[in-house]
Amino acid sequence: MPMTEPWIIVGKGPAGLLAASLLLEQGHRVVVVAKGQGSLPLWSGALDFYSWDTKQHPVKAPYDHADHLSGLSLNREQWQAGWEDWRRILQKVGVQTQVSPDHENLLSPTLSGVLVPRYLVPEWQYAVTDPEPVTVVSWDGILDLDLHLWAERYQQHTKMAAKTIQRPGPQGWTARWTPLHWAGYLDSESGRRWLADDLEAALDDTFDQCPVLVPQIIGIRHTEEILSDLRVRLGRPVKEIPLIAPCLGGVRIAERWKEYLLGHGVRFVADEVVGVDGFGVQLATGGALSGRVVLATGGVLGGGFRLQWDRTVINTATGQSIAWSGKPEDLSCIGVSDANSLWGVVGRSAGGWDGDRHGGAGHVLGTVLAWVNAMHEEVYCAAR
Amino acid sequence: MLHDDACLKCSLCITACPVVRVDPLFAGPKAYGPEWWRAHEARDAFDTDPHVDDCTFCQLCEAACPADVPVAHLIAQHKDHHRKKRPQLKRFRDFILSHPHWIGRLPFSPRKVSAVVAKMAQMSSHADFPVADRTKFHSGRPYGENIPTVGLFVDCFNRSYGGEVVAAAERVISRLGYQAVLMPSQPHCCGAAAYASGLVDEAQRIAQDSAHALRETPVETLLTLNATCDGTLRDEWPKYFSLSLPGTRVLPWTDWVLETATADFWSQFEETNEAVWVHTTCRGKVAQGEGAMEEFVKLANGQPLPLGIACCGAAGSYAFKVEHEDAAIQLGIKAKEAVHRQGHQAEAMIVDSGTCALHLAQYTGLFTMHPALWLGRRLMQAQSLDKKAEVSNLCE
Ligand SMILES: Cc1cc2nc3c(=O)[nH]c(=O)nc-3n(C[C@H](O)[C@H](O)[C@H](O)COP(=O)(O)OP(=O)(O)OC[C@H]3O[C@@H](n4cnc5c(N)ncnc54)[C@H](O)[C@@H]3O)c2cc1C
Ligand code: SF4
Ligand code: SF4
Repeated sequence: MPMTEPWIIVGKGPAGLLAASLLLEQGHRVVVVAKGQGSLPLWSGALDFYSWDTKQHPVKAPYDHADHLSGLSLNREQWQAGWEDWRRILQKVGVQTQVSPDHENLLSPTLSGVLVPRYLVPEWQYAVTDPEPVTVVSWDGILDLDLHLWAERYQQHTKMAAKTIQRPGPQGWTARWTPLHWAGYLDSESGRRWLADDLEAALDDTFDQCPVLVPQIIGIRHTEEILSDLRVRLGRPVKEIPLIAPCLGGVRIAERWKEYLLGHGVRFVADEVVGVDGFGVQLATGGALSGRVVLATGGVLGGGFRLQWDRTVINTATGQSIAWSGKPEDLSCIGVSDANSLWGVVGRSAGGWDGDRHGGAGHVLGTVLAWVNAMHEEVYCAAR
Repeated sequence: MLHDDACLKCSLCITACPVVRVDPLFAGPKAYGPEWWRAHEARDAFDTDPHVDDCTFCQLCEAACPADVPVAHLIAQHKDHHRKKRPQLKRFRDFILSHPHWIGRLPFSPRKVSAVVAKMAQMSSHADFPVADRTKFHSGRPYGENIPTVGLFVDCFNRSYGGEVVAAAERVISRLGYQAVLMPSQPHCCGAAAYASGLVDEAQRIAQDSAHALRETPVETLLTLNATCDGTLRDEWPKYFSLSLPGTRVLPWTDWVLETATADFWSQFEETNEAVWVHTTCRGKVAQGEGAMEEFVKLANGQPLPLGIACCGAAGSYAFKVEHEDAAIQLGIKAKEAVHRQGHQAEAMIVDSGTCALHLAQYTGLFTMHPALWLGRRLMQAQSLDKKAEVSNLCE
């Protein structure tokens, strides 16, 4: 049925979902085409960018990155407003986040007990402006979290005490459980009951005014409900420490975000894009979709770029080759951003930023904002 | 296969797997797919894991993989290797259930299997079973020379239990100015049921017979009423069974209606804003994506409510097997929770598979149906309203 031309977003990683949400808010029709899941489930769920300066010191005020922002033609106000937009979208999706009152970085723990600067942190994850004593509880079989090491490093870094409690797993636990198994169990009625009883039995009066930290396994669908029930029952906040990828934080965000978009009329097409032009995309299964195109296809891991046997790199969606120095360390920064092209490029595929080192979220946001601005400019020019 | 050995160990497949979240003994797609396969290829392990069979074969793992590893298809091989170690009775039962086109011909179709029979046949006494639907649909011969034709694939489930669905699908097709050729002329199965249970060779045989039967009536467009058959015919036949339907484009009936219907067609539906739940089955998500049925409801002036679950737990004959009872119940409960969590008032749900509709009705208590039935009914309503208007115009 003929209707207004939709926007076609290729990729459903964070960049694709963010671009889709912004277009939707502006009243556009949106179709997302993707062949794979995208990298959100690999994310801890915290959105960060430039947490460290060039000397590897933690950054306090994260919006001061004039060098990177000017590359994207963004000023500080646009940058700040962009983060607020993202935060608002997450809220609509059903994910509440914490930010520091002065818009500085919060401190949030890693798996090894270090507090690192993070800008936006989901409610379920522990984040503070000033370190405090904590109690950490974990269960046998959660191998990624070594409580002893965690406490040692936490105390070293923060000069604050950390009490640790190791507990046996529930009945039915097997050594093959991944965090997804734990989360599925804790989402169930029996799992919830076990968790509350077990935590109550584990805790004593030590630091009873301070938070209890647990590994990030507290459900997928019922996380907030479970954590707030625990707070009531135990009389102190219970928050999560993210584990290694795949991370439940990102899984929760990805699932809710997709549902939100679906509920608002966005269509998700499962297919690979094998050709792009000014009119739309060609699909691997033979069909085509017409509309204005944005590539949010990610890097090598996301499937947007393919490293060939002859050490050249190609863009899987367009078939074009991508410039690469040949050095492995440069692979994570390559991209195809091109202001003159007939389609937009956002996220990891826009290149120029090592998201693994400097925070993928900042890069996702920066490139999406730059593209939105370019689009507005185009509309403005056309109107004149 | 090119990508059999491409696993990067990123674990994205595990995050997509619905069974991992409800089955404490199920190790997950990475372990049962690429990891098992590598060990098996290296000959350091001929071991299979009995719980590989808890996999519903939803294929969501495979759809999530960034490295194009055929995760679910490696799991099908694992199941096949394991099958030979299973007890005779279960093997026999699986063989029968792998031929749904035989079962559909049985003269009886009870809603529940009694406890005694269930035990004997290793079936679930908890699951609801489909009841035969004797609604007559058009025989399959085109009625006019000058009317454009589309093929309508009458899958084994709809042939025996979904007469009303087929009739409604046909009615909409003819309203859009086309005639439907119902095919194949005899009951056949696409092979999905056998493949999902790890009967790989049997699946190939069943699919081959079906392809042969479909080729008897060449059509340019073949519409499907079930997402699993859709993905199997279009994507899996060429990839895993070396079968094809030359010159035929296979697509879901719903997508074809979206493509074909004009604004005029949609304008006949009254602005009722009737809310309706939408569940795109797991195999539908993998084969086509999501959101088409929502668009469909919206165009017919309804209000779509995406259910937001991955796999309902029906998975063809999965929920009928006694050893899958727990997982199927847990997944069904998740569907019920999704309805409660969102708290919308709606009595109906549309879903692109008959067995899933049955399972979802059992757990949510909603009136579940194929989108063709939903639209067919709205069409009849619209037409009777038209008639009423005509009559009242005449009276005036
Ligand atoms: C293990 C890991 C953990 C990380 N954790 C964090 C974190 O906690 N916080 C943070 O800020 N950053 C993190 N990052 C960095 C971040 O992942 C990336 O910078 C960012 O995910 C890129 O997102 P994207 O949306 O651009 O691409 P991706 O998420 O890679 O998505 C690409 C999408 O495009 C699709 N696609 C690709 N090619 C095609 C095609 N031809 N046709 C159709 N579809 C196609 C893919 O299927 C996929 O859906 C992490 C990175 C890694 C590797
Ligand atoms: S998603 Fe693919 S690459 Fe990642 S672990 Fe699973 S099979 Fe391996
Ligand atoms: S096919 Fe479905 S149930 Fe089976 S392993 Fe993959 S995701 Fe899990």
